Formats: sequence, C-alpha cells, structure tokens
Amino acid sequence: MREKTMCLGKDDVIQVKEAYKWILHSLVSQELGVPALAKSLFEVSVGFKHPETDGDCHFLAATCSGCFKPAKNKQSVFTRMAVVKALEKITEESFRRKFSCPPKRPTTLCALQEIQCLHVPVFVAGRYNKFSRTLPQTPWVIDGERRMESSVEELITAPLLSAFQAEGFNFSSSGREDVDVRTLGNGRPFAVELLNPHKAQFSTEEVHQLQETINKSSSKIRVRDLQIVTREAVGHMKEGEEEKTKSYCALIWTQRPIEENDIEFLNDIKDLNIAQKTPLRVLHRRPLAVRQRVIHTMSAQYRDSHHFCLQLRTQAGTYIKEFVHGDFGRTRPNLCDLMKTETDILELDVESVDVDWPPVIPEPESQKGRSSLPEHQHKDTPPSQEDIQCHPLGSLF
Amino acid sequence: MEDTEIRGAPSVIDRYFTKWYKTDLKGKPCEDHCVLQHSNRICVITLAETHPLLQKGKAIKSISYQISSACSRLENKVSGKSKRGGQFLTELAPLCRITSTDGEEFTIFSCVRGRLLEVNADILTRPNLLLEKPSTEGYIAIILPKFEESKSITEGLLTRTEYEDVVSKRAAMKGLRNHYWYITMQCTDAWEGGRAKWHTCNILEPKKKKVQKGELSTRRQFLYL
Repeated sequence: MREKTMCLGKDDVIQVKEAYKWILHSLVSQELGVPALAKSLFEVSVGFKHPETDGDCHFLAATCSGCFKPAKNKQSVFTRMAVVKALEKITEESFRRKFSCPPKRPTTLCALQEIQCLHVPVFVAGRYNKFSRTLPQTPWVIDGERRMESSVEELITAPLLSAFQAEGFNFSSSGREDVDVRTLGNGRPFAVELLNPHKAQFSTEEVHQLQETINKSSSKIRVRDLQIVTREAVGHMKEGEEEKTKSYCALIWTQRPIEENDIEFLNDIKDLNIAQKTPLRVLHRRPLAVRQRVIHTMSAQYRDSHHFCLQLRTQAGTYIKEFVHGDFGRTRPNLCDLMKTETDILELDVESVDVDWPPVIPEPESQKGRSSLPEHQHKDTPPSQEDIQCHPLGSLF
Repeated sequence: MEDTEIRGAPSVIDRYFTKWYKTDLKGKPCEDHCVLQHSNRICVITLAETHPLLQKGKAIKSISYQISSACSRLENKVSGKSKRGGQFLTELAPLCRITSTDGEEFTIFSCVRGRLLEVNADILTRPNLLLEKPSTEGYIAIILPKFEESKSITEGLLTRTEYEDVVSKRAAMKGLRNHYWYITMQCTDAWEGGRAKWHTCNILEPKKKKVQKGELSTRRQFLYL
C-alpha cells in the first residue's frame, strides 16, 4: 500500500479547490434550479471570512521573508501571490515542521462577507452618421467646463445604457472626425462596450427598436446596423482605422481666380505620395513625426472663380485639412503647391469609411415603406444657422 | 482683418491663432517679431510685417541656426508625446541669425518661454519663403510652452491693437521730426583734434536725413524750441 501511494505525482492529487467546486456547484444548482457553470456570462462571487484561520499562513514570513514585502496599497502583507510564492520556495521538511499536515479541524464556521454579481460586458456595434457641424464625437470638456453641447458618443450610449441597465461603457470607433466635419454615406463603424449590464438578452427586433429610439432622439446623428457582437468582432473595426481607405468631399477656396479647366488636372492625379509633419493643431498631444500618406484619387467640381469642390480617396490617417492649406508648409506636397496659389478648406465631409464591418442589418419587413431618412437628405438641405460656423460663404452652398 | 475681407472667410491663422507681438527686440529699432499662438498653446515664431528684413529692397544672403559653437537649433530633437529632449528656451534665447545682402545682421529671438519643437529648415534652402510668406511657410520656429505657463507667456507681449499703436506712433515720430525746425551746425575741426568748435551754418530748416553710418558726421541738427 505504501509503495502505491509513493507512485503518485503532483498532478495525480486533486486540488482541494477542484473537489470543492464539484461538490458545491451541484448543491447550488439544485437549490437555485439553474445550471452552474465554471465559465459563464454571469458571475456571482461570494466572499467568506474566517478569522480563526487567518493567521495560518503567517509562519511563512519567518521562513521566506523575501516574499512578503509591505506595500502602500496592501492591507495585509499576506497576499495570495505572496503566499503561493512562499509555498513554492519552502521545502517539504520545513513545512512539515511548522504546520501540521493535514491541518487541524477548525472550531468555527466561516461567515459570509459579501456577494458580488457581475455580467460580462455586452458589445453593441453599428455605424453612425453625423449631420451637424457643431457636434463633437466625444464630450468636449476643458478644466471641468463643458465647451460644446452633447456629443455623438453621448447620443448613442445614453439609450443603450438605460436599455441594458449597464453601469458604464467604453465607446470606440473606426477613426474620428472633427467637430466641424459631417459623416455622410454609410457612416462610421463604432462599438460600445456596456459594463455589467443588468439586462443582456435582446431580440433582433428589440435592438432595432433601440436603433429607432436613438435616431428619434436627435436629428444631428443617425445610427444604422445596430447589433450585438462579440468582443473578437470589435477587432475588425480597429483594423479599419489603420488599414482601410476613406473618402471625403471638401469645399476649397482659392486665392487666385480659377476657371473650369484649371482644376481638371486634379482628376488625373493617382496615388500621390505626401509627407505630413504632425499638424500644429494636434502637436500638443501627439509626438512630432513625419507621416507618409497616399492620396489615391481626386475629383474636382468647379463652383465659381474662387471655389471648387474636391473629392478625395485617401489612405487611413491622412490629415485632409492640412493637405489643403499646407499647415505652414509642413505637409508637402499640398494643394497650394499643386494649384500654385494659396488654398483653404471651408467645409469637409466624410463620404465613406471603407470598412466592411459591422455586417449590414437589412430593414425588417414591417419597416419597409416607412419614410426613413434618405441617404443625402441632409446634404441637400441648406445648412441650418447652427451648422454654419463662422463662414459666411458656407450659406451659399 | 484684411485677409478676411478679401477672401470672405477667416484664414487658417484667423481661425486657430492669436497674434502677439514683441517690438524693438534688444532695443534694435523695428526688429519686431510676431508670435502666433494656437488655441492649443503652441507658438509659431515669425517676423512681424514691420521687421527690416521684410521691407522693400532687402534680400537674404544667409541664414544660420548655429547660434554658438556648442549649439545649433537644427540639432534639436524631440521624442514622444511630451516632446522630451527639446531645447528649453527663455524669451531672449536666439533662434537664428540672418544676414542680408547689404551686410546687415539680424538675430531672431524666441519671445516666449518653452520647449523648442522644431525650426524651419525649408528657409535654409529657400530663403525667399521668409520674405514672401513670413507668416506661414516662412515661419522661424515652433515652441511648446509649459502647460501651467500657457496663459502667462503672453504677459510680456503686445496684442495686435497695441502693436498697431506702436507702429503708428513710430510713423508719427518720423513725421514729427520732419515737422519741427532745426538749427544746423557744422564743426570746423575734426573730432580727433580735441574739442570741436561749432558754428551755425543754417538756421531753421527741416530735419535732414541722417548721414550714412561710418562717415564722420561734421553736421549736427539741433531742435529749435
């Protein structure tokens, strides 16, 4: 018999923790009438305290003092990690001398300390359009003072937070646009991570309803393809930020008077390489560097002797405004160099963000025929007073 | 603002920057600098329109960022978001030296306290940028003031209105000098000969242009009160 026991290796011995789980899970499952899983979307963490045995591990401090270093934030020096480390270091003989094996039977029961319930985060993705030129993507707060009303982030997440009864969120998107830039076309992919949602089961119809709620709440944004996705799927969106192309439409002002054929040459330029030093307007929070970027195609539409509309398809991460006005000559070549005159950008719209994610959600049968916003309705309506920043010329277009 | 009237909309500088000025740097008349302060606190150092280099007829012979044997502003390197490694400048730190074709030498100064981010290397190969587009492509340097100092750095600088005041006062002084009457006197002996003797040669005439530098001046004009 003795020989048999001596053949057992470390892995043959069942950990107390595992045995405990096997016993407890089936008991809890029976009592509550629900399946108990080791890994699940909903975690209940129950904490117990047992003062009688709190001091059991303290003998380790004498034998392996190096493992137990006091730190500012720790209440007790005997953290789980420190104890595990010491147990690995201590020799079997030393252990047996200091601590009885098996341990003595305790005289008191443990007491409940706390119960914490946590649901894993739920990810909601979609694409958003921004029709306002006075709406920032994220809240604009400086020195505790809000500089601009609302934000794309708040308009999207507020209804989601309340529907999912979540405690917090993380908003991310495939790139960003400035306050004064509209996002048209299919919109920009975004994902919201809802933290500890108290309600996590939603049908496709319910999610679609949520989309309608968001769209009705404000005319400044529009959301489409709203859907619940997995954490892994969110990776597609960030890929888009760095790798995929974007299309823009810019209203250009030229200092010298131009005629229709003066801008035709722009249509023939393909894959123009430009070098952009970090724009001055972001230089306070970005490292100083030179970025090589490519303008794939351009298309110009004449407006009048000092204005034309320029459509561009560019590599992700291209600063369009700086390409147009040159940013003190720190983007080269820039539109001023190409046009051989000072040029400035009066308005900018994002026409498309060329990422194939999230998957398109077709409108449900019941919704077809309803008047939902046509693609470019907002583009063709004259901009409202609030949309025009200090550009008096903006009102002409 | 002239720019806005011609184009009908604010320019990049109008939209994002505030113009600050420092006049008569180091006491040198009219050596005025213009600091363009971005709303994010970054400062672009440029020549003001009244700087002698930007007046008619001036051409640039050379520009150098080597301000001492140990220090070249061209070697300034910054890294990371906090721009570590950039040379820290005080208000009167020299940025570069410019020599004009007629032999005059000008030093351009920082005007603000902060970390030097970059100097404009383009003007070394294309000095005309500085003369033709001093406020944009012909900028001298970019400086990042400390966050805590972003408001206080402009305390020693003039606003656009104050600058315009200084400029118009200069023109008035010039005009005044021509408006008053002067007694012109000439000295009979050269300076080297000891004390000079003066006699009146002309009485009550307007201020005449100063003689060329380097010439011994034997005529002086004294204000008649």
